[in-house]
Amino acid sequence: MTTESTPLALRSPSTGGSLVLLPPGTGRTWPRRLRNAMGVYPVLFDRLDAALVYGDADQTRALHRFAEAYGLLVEPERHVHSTAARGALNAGARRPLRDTRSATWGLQASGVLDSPYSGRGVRLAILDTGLDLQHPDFSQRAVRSRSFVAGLPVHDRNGHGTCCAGIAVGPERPRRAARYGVAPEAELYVAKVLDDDANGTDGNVLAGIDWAVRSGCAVISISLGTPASEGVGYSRVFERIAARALAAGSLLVAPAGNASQRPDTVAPVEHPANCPSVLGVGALNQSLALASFSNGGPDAVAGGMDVAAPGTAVLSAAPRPTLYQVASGTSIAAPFVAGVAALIAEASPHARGATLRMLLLKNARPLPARRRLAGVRMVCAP
Amino acid sequence: MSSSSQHERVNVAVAVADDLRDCLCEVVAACQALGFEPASTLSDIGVLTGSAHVGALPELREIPGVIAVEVERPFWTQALARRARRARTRAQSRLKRR
Repeated sequence: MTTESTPLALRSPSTGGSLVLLPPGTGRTWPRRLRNAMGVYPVLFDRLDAALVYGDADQTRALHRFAEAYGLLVEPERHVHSTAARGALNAGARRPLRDTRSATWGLQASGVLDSPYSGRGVRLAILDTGLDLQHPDFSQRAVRSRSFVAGLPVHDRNGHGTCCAGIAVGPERPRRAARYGVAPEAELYVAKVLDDDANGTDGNVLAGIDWAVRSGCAVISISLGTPASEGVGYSRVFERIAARALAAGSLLVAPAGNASQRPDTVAPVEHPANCPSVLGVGALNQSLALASFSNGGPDAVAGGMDVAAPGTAVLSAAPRPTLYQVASGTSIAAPFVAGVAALIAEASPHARGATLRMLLLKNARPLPARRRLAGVRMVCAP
Repeated sequence: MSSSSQHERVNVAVAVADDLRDCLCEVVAACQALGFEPASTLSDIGVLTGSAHVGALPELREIPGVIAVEVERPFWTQALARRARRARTRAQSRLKRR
């Protein structure tokens, strides 16, 4: 990922992607052929008869051979910049953002309210403490659920899972609160992998990931973690699993952790968010600065924080009879990113796995100038 | 390491190479020969979970097709604080408007 601190002269004018011009009127027939040639699905612009493909060096070479055989025009995708500011978010905002009567501050800040997408047709999994399936904001929804905690039903007695599910896919018009969900029409899959005290183990989590991948979920949010020691590196098992999930079309999203006390102490990103193939998420406060607790220290061995999202004082659902709660933590930021990933997945139906991850990171924006930190960008709706 | 800790059983996750994901049962059998007791076989992500003696872990890692063996970690959520916010009832709203 290009960081803010990268010297301009060293930045590549190309994004690493390839733009393919297809024969007129044949756009819809090409994605599978391109996938067969390269091993990755392109992002198709069927009204333009063009496609965008991201791949490694070998895949790009395969694309060029394919294009030569079929007489297609291929150019490297370039970075472009608007002369106005689609740069920093809310650069003029001086006061902390607040919830309004109609929507939470995070939905306002990330452009979700202006997005024409709702996550329709995209499967999104929440691996957590379960869900209150009878919550009035979810009782009318088709929710697929399964418990991987022996002896416990999916029902959430803790509240963490219901909170995370609400942030990712809560309804457009909640019964008794402002809108708090990012992707209200995404298809919700709930795996209970933590018990009612919010504790679990690798075995439960891995079983939940396996179920979600098998169910065809494009996005899997796992708002849990365990401390990682700096310099020790990431889990080889989880990294391999996350890479396989990406190859199967599922993007894993996880919180960076809450052990920091910025600016004095910045703790390393926790497991499993520190795996390079897992999208690690930091938390922003209402001033769009990185929250003081949000992990994300530089670690030469393990992966870092990939993107940040609203993670302090965030309204969401709570199990009955409470119905709503306000929560903070990188746990809260991760399902927010998962929801935005579902919006991008709807906007780009062929973008899954690594391509979806790349689009999400490309669409993220720098923080306001005064809040800027090297490499930290806030997730934004398409 | 003491012999008692060598015989301690721990829960483990075993990642299997991509090309063996379709025949995981062969890897399971090889692991069982070293005392591994499988709990689940997760074919979509190519992982076995179960338990094994601590002393058997180095040998498990040497089985052809096994690419990593890790001892199970505990997980917990990453929420800092949560406070209930009860939905405002219509009666409360009317009261507030007055």
